Amino acid sequence: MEHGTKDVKSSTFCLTDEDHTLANAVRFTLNQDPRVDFCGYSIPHPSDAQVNIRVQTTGAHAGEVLKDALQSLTAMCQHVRSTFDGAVEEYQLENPPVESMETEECLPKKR
Amino acid sequence: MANALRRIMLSEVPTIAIDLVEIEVNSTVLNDEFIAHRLGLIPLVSDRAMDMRFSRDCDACDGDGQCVHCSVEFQLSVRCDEDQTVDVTSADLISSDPMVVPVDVALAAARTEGFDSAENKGIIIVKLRRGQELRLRAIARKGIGKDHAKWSPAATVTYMYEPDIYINEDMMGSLTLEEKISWVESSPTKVFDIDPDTHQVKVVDAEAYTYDDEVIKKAEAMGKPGLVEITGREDSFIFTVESTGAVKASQIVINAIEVLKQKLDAVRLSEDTVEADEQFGELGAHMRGG
Amino acid sequence: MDAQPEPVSYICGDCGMENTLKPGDVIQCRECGYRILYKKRTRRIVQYEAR
Repeated sequence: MEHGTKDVKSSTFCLTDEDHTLANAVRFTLNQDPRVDFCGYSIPHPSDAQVNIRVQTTGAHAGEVLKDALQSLTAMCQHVRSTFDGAVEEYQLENPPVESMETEECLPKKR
Repeated sequence: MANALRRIMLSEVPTIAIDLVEIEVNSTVLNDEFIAHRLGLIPLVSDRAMDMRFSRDCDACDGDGQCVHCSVEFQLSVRCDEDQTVDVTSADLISSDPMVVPVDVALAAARTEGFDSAENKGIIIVKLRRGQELRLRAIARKGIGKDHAKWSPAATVTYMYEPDIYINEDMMGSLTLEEKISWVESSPTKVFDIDPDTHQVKVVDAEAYTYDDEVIKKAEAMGKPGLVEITGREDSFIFTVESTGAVKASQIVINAIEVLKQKLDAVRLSEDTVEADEQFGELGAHMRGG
Repeated sequence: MDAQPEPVSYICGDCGMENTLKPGDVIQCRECGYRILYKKRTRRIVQYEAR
């Protein structure tokens, strides 16, 4: 993971062993940050496991802004996790499992 | 983030699958590599996968990936000595770890009664004729779908925006019952229904809506544009996860969130150690060139 | 390193007779003269990646 330039308010971060999975999610959260002027990502070559994330801010330290984005994504993960756990618990209260292995297969197929 | 989760469920949630096969005897009609490949594709119960080590970064064994922390051993030995053909199936694989067995075997063990063993005798690996024999040792390892699809825990993962369906009740009230029925039936999936008593059109299953616009077109064709308004809620997604059986569908979701968190942490931590390694030059060159 | 050439046994493609051959030998069945011989499977364990 490296910086691109000397200027603190605009940097390119190069992440190895990552792809669209992480980069697009990070880009999305960065673009929701009002401090971010521009953010985009690219995969220079499809055969290399590497992504570049460009961050340009209105003045804040780009690295800090990226860190904050990662932090808020982690918080989103936590939120989804707890919501999901809650929903599963609620569902199981309403529909007590018949047999542990088979509950999922017996769910009515909606689609 | 929804797409990140979908991609992780397909290709980065770990499972266990046979990765190395040592064949002792094989006089079957299928060649060794063919059998090895078939063994690799058998889904194994992978609830242990999240706590297992990848054999490449297991320090208990020196990189050969054959210790209890990163592998599970299977033995298979079947010989046919009769005139009927003998099926070699996933049920013939003897696991060194009772937690890690082929998923169909685990399923068969779970439903003891009402289970038709003649119907379901496991995943067929090869069929033997009289005198043919197959004897082998297989090593199963932890892996991810990005490496090889055999490690993918999910058959399909899809998501869609949760639909917000708004029926214009005034306009709907102006329809005859016949018109209502024909409008409700214009939807290819059962999203709407008519109350038998009040003859009111209700949404019975919003999630069944496939964004096909059929009901909207129908309303326009009936001269009632704006009868119904359907929008996708951009802050709510409906995921459909279909598991291979290796990991429960609900557990795949949980594991995917865990994997995504690990990824974020990894980037955040490496952030503090800004090291200018060889990729830095590459990046610089790319920026100058592009 | 210089192990003496070990005779390897082959199965005749016509009569099924087992033949042992050394390097330089004529490839021909001793029983029926058929020239297609099949090598027997190794008794050693062979390793494959299941991919």
